[in-house]
Amino acid sequence: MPKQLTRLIVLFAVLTGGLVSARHFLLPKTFGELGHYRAAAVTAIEARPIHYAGRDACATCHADIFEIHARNKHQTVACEVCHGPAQAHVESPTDVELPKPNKRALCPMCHRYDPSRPTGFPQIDPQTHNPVKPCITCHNPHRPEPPHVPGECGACHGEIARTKAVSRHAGLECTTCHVTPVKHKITPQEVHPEKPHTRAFCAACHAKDAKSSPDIPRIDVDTHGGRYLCWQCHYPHQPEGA
Amino acid sequence: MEASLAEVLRQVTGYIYPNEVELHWSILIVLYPYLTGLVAGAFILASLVRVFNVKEVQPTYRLSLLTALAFLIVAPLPLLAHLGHPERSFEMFLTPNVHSAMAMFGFVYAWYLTVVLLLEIWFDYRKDMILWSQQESGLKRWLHKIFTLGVFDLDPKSLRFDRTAGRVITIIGIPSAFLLHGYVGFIFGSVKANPWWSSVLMPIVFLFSAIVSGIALMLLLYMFSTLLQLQGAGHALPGQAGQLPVLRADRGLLAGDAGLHPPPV
Amino acid sequence: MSDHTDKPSGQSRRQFLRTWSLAVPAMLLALRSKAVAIWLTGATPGYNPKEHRYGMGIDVDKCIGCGRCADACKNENDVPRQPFYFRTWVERYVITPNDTLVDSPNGGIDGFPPTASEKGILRTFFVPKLCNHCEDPPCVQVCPVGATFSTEDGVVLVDQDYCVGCRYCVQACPYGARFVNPKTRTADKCTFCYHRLVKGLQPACVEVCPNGARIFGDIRQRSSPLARFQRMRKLHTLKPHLNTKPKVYYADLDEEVR
Repeated sequence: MPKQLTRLIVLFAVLTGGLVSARHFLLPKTFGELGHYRAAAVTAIEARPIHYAGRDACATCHADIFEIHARNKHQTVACEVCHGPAQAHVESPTDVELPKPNKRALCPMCHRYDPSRPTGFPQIDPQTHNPVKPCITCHNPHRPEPPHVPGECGACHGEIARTKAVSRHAGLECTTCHVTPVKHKITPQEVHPEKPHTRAFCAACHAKDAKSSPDIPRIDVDTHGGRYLCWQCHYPHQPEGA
Repeated sequence: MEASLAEVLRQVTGYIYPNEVELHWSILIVLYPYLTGLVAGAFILASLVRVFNVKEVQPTYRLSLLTALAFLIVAPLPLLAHLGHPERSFEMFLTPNVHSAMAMFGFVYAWYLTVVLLLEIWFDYRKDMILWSQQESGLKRWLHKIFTLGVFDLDPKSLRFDRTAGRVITIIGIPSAFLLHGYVGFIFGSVKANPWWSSVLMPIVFLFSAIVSGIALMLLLYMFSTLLQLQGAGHALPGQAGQLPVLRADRGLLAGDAGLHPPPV
Repeated sequence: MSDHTDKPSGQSRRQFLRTWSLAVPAMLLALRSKAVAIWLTGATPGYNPKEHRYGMGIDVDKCIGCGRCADACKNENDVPRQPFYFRTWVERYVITPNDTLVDSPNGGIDGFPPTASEKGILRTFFVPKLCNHCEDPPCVQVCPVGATFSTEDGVVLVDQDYCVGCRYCVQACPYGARFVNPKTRTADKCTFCYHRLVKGLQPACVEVCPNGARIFGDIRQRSSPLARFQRMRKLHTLKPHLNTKPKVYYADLDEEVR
């Protein structure tokens, strides 16, 4: 074996040995216990401080408000959504006070009308809906039902009302087609208005022999539109669009 | 940093995920595959001499190897600069994740640097290092003494072993060079999240670009080193005498050029 | 389990024997006692990660785009407030016959500017996004040092003290869920508020969602809100073709959502 080769092999062996023993000292202690990571990392993450106390924490001391809140429309809204992170307050209630927002800025974050928001979610136009006044003047945040039952359907169904107002059906009341129980205005999610089910409903005004105003367009109910229901082609709130 | 990100945000058209406004791999990461590509390309040129016996490029042999070594040593610097915690970079060798292309590349890189490049250069320069350790003085003398690992054999049998070893290492080195830069391509190509990168072709793209750019680099370096030596030896510069440095197969272009262009074996 | 046993030096053999002489009786005990399992992990007392497998459901049609979730997440987890670092964010999609417009101004934290015009909109909705805590996470696969990992209860976490900041995981995440925290200079992402989970609390974003668009739960438990969600709704995950097996399930997800 040539001398240079032996020297090289010895050099490599020494270097490898050195690296392996260095690894033994440098390897973190908890590495590999649970997987290819430091188990101590999990403990470190678990020890991070908490800022939001969770809804149950408020009930301990504010049971009266909590009870009202839990039975009304904002029951899905956590206390900390409006009052901010509460863990500091839970730990030292007298030293840390939480804000009680009373400006108009907060409520429109959820309730400002936006077409991207789901239909049926209560939305208002902040510029026309009692401008200037703080929202809590009329709406108790823990029992936010409006002080008066809305007079118009358009108070909650603004987009539909606006669309209908400039359409051929502008003269029709919403209740002409939608039979609406009174309770819908009080608990809208629980009691819903009805919607027509059959072609015969629209035919009551639009059939050739219907007893309605002569201005109303007439069609042959048996053949017009084949087997489809009327509103599959005609949007009832803007029927001329079809 | 925040100001520049705000500027970037202003220039975004269309939609990207909010976390992706910040460009995560930018110029520093671009540098790294470029440098390793040059390494692989330069090595391929050197291997043409040793394995495929292409006599025409014989004078570039040592320059290619040294260029490859120089760039390979420097290549990790932009990577270290880019890391959030460069002081923890040794962790990649301590606890490598065997499923991670980046971690495994550390070992491919170490293999290439030590076994292929350093060993090949050592075997090729061993005779010269022994001669220099005897002829020179001061620090250079001691450095070369250390490099020889205390072996001063200059008999023909040892030298023949050196040549054979160099040949064997180069034969191993060619697939290693392919592995080196192909792997860098794989680091990008395996990222399925980025459709611009995610392709089987990435290693091939990287490899071919590497070969082309490495050889281009060697062309450039060879021209410059020859110009410098012509100047240094007082010879007429090309252009002055209407001549260009010509690759001569029978001998290195100039004598006494610090062993960079040795006579053919 | 122990990985310094490959070199047969005296030091590591001793270490090997020491580890295994403790581990074997511990494991036998663990078969009978959960307490010992907890001791082994060093975790919060009373919490056994093996009993849980976490996931999240998103009811897209319930999201009102208020951004309280994104805001709460930044409060809870000390995430820098600049608009480039989000553990969770809300996107708005506006789909018209010719185009799909998507935006996420500051992740939705300050709410959204009014949708431009109602005319011509076919569909429009909000989609909350976050780390999907995939079963087969591409980020865990590419981490070179083992700084990001999947826990036994299905949460993908990042070890802030071990991460090198190479950003490979950020590149590898198909969902844009990861970022590099400028303060720690390490990778960072949604942790499902793991520090809250081990104490029996819910993640901050789920806690504050006012309309119940985020449903958190245990995939393994038959009676959890998430289990009911999985039974009653038709669910989608994001980018299923990448085989990451995400654990965030979207109900009523539109095809346009990427």
